[in-house]
Amino acid sequence: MVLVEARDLKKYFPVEKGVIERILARKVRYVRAVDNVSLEVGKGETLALVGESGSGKSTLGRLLVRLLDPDGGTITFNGIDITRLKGEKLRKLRRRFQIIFQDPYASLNPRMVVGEQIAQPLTELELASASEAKSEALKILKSVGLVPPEDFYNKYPHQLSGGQRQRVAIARALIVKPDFIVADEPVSMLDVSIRASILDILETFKRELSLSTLFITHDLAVARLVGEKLAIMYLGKIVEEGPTEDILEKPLHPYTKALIDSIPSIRKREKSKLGLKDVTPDPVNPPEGCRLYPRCPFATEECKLREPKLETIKGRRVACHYPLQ
Amino acid sequence: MALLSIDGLSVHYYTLSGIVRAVDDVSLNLELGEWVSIVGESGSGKSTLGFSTIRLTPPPGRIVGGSIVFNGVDIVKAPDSVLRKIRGREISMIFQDPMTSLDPLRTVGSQLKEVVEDHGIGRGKEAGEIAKRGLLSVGLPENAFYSYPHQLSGGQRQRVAIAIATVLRPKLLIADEPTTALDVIVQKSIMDLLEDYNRKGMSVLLITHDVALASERSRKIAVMYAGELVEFGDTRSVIEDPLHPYTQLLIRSVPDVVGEKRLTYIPGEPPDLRRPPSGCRFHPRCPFADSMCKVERPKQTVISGRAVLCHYAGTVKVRD
Repeated sequence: MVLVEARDLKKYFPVEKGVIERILARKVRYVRAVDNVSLEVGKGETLALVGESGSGKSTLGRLLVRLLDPDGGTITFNGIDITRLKGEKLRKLRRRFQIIFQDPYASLNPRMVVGEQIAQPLTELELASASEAKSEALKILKSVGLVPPEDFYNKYPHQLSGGQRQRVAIARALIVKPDFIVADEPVSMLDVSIRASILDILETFKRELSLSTLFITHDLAVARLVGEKLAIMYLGKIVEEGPTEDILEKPLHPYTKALIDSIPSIRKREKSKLGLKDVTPDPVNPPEGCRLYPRCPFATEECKLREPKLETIKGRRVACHYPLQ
Repeated sequence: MALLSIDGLSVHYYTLSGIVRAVDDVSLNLELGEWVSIVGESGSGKSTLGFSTIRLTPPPGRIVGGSIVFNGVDIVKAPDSVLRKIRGREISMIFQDPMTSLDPLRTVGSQLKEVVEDHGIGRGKEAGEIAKRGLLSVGLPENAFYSYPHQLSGGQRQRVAIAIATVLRPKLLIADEPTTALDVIVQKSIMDLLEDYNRKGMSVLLITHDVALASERSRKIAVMYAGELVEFGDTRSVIEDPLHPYTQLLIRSVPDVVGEKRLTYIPGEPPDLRRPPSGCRFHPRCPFADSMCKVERPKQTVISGRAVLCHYAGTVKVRD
């Protein structure tokens, strides 16, 4: 069953103009951060969204939980169109979709003990009384591994390590028992020796709450650990989407292949390595046609002129005129 | 004889809240033309070790013991005038964020030219030519000479930093997390570039948190934990048959796009280096630790050419 569905979602950010350009009243230019993206996240499913910096993956995540307003397209949550939902109606629904950010140093209030920060969503959304909220907070502190919870309840963020802070951020997002979370690079700032412990916690909650997750990451190896489905984004568009293992084993889009081939691995791989040309794409003036064509070694005249559509091939969606064999 | 020989090096930071033992009794060698990677997590002391190698330990850090012999010169004791000749010409360094090491108000070309002129390699037009050749050799177009740093992408800026670091043809390049801020596709091209230089004879000391990256590129790997060098040896053997429990657990924690899928981590957190644990610094997180590990500091033992800092080196093995 589909829980979250995005159709032709768009988010264009205006580019800041200089004084001269403003006087000359030049046309406003836009960064097309998310450009006609459609995706689905099923109930209890984790979709890993992978892309490089500037691909629009974080913007897409924020759109889905309505932290940003889309410029086009629709978002459906559990059958309800939430694209233009406002005020009290949106606030009521907020409990059901939450977000976890990359930087637990920035997302926590430095002047508030972590226990109160965890309990706050419950009282704020009027889901529990103050005392109930506190006991719930203690309970969830324990389930994210911050034991004894009574000690951790009264600590300030600066007294915690990065890994512990991220546990607090997870607890705060999950205390309201949401149906859907967007996890935006939740382990990117953590050392590899503790990374999996955070993923482990998310995995446990996923099973217990049959949580649906959009897991945003730049790291394909992490995506492989968490997501049964994988979507690859490039310059505001999804270029390939499907079952994670299938894609990693046999990517159909040249960009996906280049990503996989570039990831360092401690296991020996004797595969041909596909490189892309080192051209910096300009998100304000993305190439016409296929956005990858200036970098793609297989690009033809057609790629330059005509934009490929996401088409279903072998149980996957791929946007390429010449998918890899 | 080794090009670089670090022996018993200790570097401490004298902070207001106490002495941080960032690097403690570390010894390692690098032969001419070799690529050695220092791998460690945040706070392991790997960057401090890198900076200290050219005596650029950031304050309040101080080298408190040991020696760093480069090409016959002890860097720790050398007078500043000698050091100035070594830095840049014999040993140079690149960093994670090239934007912080480039001047934002001057063109890339003039910055590169300055290095050439300051070291007396060439003057005026000749220096300009050398600078242009430098840019070409790192794969930048010739017109990059007239660009300002902000006009270039992160990958291109790192290429400029490499051009500046290599234009004097140093014997050793210290690269401190040079690709951490870059996307993987760009990372690969930068690493390929460093590999080219290495093949032409330049030694590389790569400092990285990425075990997989180190394993693909280097001849030897040095693993640091909590200020100590816990294992040092040939890359293949360290990766395929790690001897120190930390190395074993670290390698198992690295996610990969191929092979078995598993969620493995090391329980606990790295220690506060103002109050490092007694005995072996890894003992609070080590599955094999016993009473001896808690009390007695392990001494480095050498097992089949590998240096390991563990009481039970070679006898303990983490199982699946």
